[in-house]
Amino acid sequence: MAMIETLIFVLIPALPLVWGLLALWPPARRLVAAGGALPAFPALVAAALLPAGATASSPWLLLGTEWVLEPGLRALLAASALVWAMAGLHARGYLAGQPGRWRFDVFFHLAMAGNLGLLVAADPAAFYTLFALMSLASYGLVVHTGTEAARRAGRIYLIMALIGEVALLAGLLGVATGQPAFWPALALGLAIKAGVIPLHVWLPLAHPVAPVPASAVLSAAMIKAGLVGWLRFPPPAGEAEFWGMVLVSLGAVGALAAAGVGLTQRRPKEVLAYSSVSQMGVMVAALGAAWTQPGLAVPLQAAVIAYAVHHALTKGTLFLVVGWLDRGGGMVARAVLVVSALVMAGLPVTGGAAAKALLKEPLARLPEGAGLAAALLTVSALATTTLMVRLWVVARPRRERATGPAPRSVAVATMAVALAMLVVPLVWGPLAGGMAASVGKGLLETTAPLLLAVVLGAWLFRLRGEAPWGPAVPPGDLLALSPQWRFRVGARGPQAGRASRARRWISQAAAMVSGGLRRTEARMAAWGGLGLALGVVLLLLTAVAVTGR
Amino acid sequence: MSPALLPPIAVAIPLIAGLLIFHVPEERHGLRTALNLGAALAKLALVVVLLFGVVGGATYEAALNWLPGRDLILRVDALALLFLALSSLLWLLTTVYAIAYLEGGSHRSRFFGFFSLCVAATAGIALAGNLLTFLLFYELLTLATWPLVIHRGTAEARRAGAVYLRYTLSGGVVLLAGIVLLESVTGPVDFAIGAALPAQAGPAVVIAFALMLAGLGVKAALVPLHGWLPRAMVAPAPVSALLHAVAVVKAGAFGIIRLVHDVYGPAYLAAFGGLNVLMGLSVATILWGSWRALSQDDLKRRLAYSTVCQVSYIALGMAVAGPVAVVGGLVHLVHQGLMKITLFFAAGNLAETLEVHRISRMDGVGQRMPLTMGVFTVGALGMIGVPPVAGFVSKWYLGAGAIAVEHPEILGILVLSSLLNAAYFLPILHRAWFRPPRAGEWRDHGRPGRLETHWMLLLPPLITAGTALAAGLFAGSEVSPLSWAQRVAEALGHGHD
Repeated sequence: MAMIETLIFVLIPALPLVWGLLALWPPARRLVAAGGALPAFPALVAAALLPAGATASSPWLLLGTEWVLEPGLRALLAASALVWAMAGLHARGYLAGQPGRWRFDVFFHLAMAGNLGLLVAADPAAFYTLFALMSLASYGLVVHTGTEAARRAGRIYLIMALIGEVALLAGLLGVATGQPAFWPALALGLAIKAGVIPLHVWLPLAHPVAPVPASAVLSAAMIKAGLVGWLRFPPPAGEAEFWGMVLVSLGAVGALAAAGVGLTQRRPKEVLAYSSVSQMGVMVAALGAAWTQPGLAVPLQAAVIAYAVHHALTKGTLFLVVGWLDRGGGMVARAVLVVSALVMAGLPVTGGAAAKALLKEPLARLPEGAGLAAALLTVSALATTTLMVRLWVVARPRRERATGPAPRSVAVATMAVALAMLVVPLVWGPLAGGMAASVGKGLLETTAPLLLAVVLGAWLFRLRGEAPWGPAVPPGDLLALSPQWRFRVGARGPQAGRASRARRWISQAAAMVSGGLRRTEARMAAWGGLGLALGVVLLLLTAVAVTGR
Repeated sequence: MSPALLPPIAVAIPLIAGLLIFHVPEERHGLRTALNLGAALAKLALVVVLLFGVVGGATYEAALNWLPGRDLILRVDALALLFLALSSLLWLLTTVYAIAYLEGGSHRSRFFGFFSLCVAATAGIALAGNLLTFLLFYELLTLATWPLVIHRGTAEARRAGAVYLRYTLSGGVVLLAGIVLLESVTGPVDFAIGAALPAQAGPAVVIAFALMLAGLGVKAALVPLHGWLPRAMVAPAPVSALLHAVAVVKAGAFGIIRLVHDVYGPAYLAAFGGLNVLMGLSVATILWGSWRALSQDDLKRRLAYSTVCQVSYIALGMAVAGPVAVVGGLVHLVHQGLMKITLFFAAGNLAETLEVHRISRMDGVGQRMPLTMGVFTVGALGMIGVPPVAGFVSKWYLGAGAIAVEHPEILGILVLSSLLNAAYFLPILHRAWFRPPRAGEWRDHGRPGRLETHWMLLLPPLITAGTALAAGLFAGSEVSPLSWAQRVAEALGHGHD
């Protein structure tokens, strides 16, 4: 039995990994593309069959890998695997006949291996390995289209991801050696992936430029890796309250600000990316609240995971259906778009309402700030609803675009995730509980914010391209503030020469120091270098010996 | 056969092969190849026998009375085997590669003769049981490598050769002075026992350490003694592989391991600040090497500065000390060798097949040579420390070791070095894979056929890259370099803490 469990755990990352690498071999590429959904199945099997809390270990793998199926994360594993599988199916039609298809398959499946694997990897080294695999492989997804925008987004993504990687490495080394002092580094690495403000700047650039199936998994599944990391490696006991407050503040600001910026976006995928930042803000804030209130930690964490499951399925549907519309989706596609947008907005008897009710209940029991929390949740729900109206405005199929029969796999994949989005909250324990709570509250109370937002959004309806107020904020918002990046973000044209005097002075000083050192190196090479070096070593040793006494 | 004979045989195989190859006429290609490969395979087989023997608890030692009271000792211990196994495996692969690389070239008997002598000297360094034996082979290595560096005979190669000799010969003299000074205080130093040091480190002991460190630091390319290494990259690719991964640089790093653990002992060095000096030097080297690598456009030059940086990880592991960091340093001896030789093989393939030497000409080269750039990618990611390639394991152990002995600033250095490594390796990968090829950048010498280049140029890097990948992916298994490094660290006296 233990053997079989270990095998399933190992296959969760191994099968997608092998599948992706198989695409490097030209004769196998057709097979890989056709079976793009297949490698997610070990994760589905694990979520369905393994007992809760199952563990296994593979001491030969990496630095001794430990696997665990945490009871709380089982549903997230299932939802992520489903979105991955259906994105793989979606890609079959969406990318059919496009150049570089095999390269997409390689990166897609490597990222899948990392994402699904890290959900069950319990030891720091394996978690880091899979996290890095996911992050670096996603670069290939971001730049896949090869456009100028994609390359720009890819550059920013890669810089942020690498900073996140090394921070995560430092933090996880702290975990592995039992040194809590390194936890902030861990938090930084995870916060970048989770799109916590102000580290979210890469996200609205990177998620939309990828092809639709990749955007779906980026925004629905991979974005949760930061959350999973925090659940698995919580802050050291003494500092939990402080870090909880940090997350609550950043999450709350993010939930509202991102929705605001999202309202000004002109393309559906950018609206959805900002919606993801906003929704992650809600989850991050709730997780922070769980840290500040150990008494409420259990229900709050369960609510966060339920919210994550709901968000994965709904955001997955939304992205996939945008791709369906791209490829000529008709009435059915539009209906799916409306339904999933309503679910995201929190329509009663859907996952959105259930997830919000689940969050509200423990938040109402906060000893202080309960009112504030409830108000924030309501405002965020309002913002999300308005954002969804905005999505409908920008995503309506243009009349001039040819609508033809969409590839069947695109339709099937989208419908499958949409079905899960509707059914899972009815049957899966935690969300079903939330559903009961939301239904019990009465129709008016639950639908009032929704109605208000729809009315608010209605007058935006006629404004197709322009934002409702002022000029559009460029995607990557904060990056546009820096003159150095403004050009790259592509807002208003180059203003490169206007770097501040201080910065110029610093760069000149750095150039001088570097040049001086280089000349020294060259001179020493000419001379042999040894005498001087010996002198330095002797000097150092004497100094140490003298001061050491 | 007496087991005491095995260590001398390990040195004798490449030595005799080298001496024979000198006399093979230039056009007897088959005979030379047979001698080369036969010797390399025989040595590898011997290493396997020794590995099993040491695991089974056997000891191998041979002593030769050379001067009155001064023996030459060859001894097999766990640390020696770590280096010997690495150099034997890579010798075989480099030989295969060199045969194809130099196909149709001139002076091949001279080349392969000195090549084998180099390996003999490396085996001697690995197996040396005392300081005197170590010095002998260390000098022999210098002399055997110089003809390889200037093999092409161009003015630039001869200049690089002159710089190389100036550095390494003076390094050897300094090492000799250090050894004489130390042994005047302590008597002959045997690695198995350590030096009979006075309880209080006097000036003679301290100065001897400085001299020996400087002498070893030349080959280990510690800043500021690294100047020869980027110049020596004019040598043919197999020689670069030898310099950077198998023999020369590693001999210096290996010597530093012996110096720290088997001559002085980390505790003794820490008492008079020797470890701090070593740490300062290695940190400076790591940062300086990475920084200089950033601005190089010549691919092999960038790789050379990368070696400057990466080899110092080994010294850093010794300097940080503590059981975990030492494992990290030791295992990096193997991991760096596997990854760097892969990178140089790939660079050689680009030069040989497409005449691409500069990074700025590598646009889209991944489409033309996917396997070559594939192994290059594995090596480069490993150097950055991306799991599951082997470099990640080294970095993990170094970082965890640094935290364990409360040197968190070292973790910062590792993080910074990873970022710098990413900054100079990832642009190469981006050019090769994500940019379209530009017309006229390459002169394609490839033969029409199924493979992108000669199979003997392709197979060695595939094996080394696969090994580097497996060494990281299966680091926890019992046959990984990591578990051998843990055994070595225990033998070095860290098992109990």
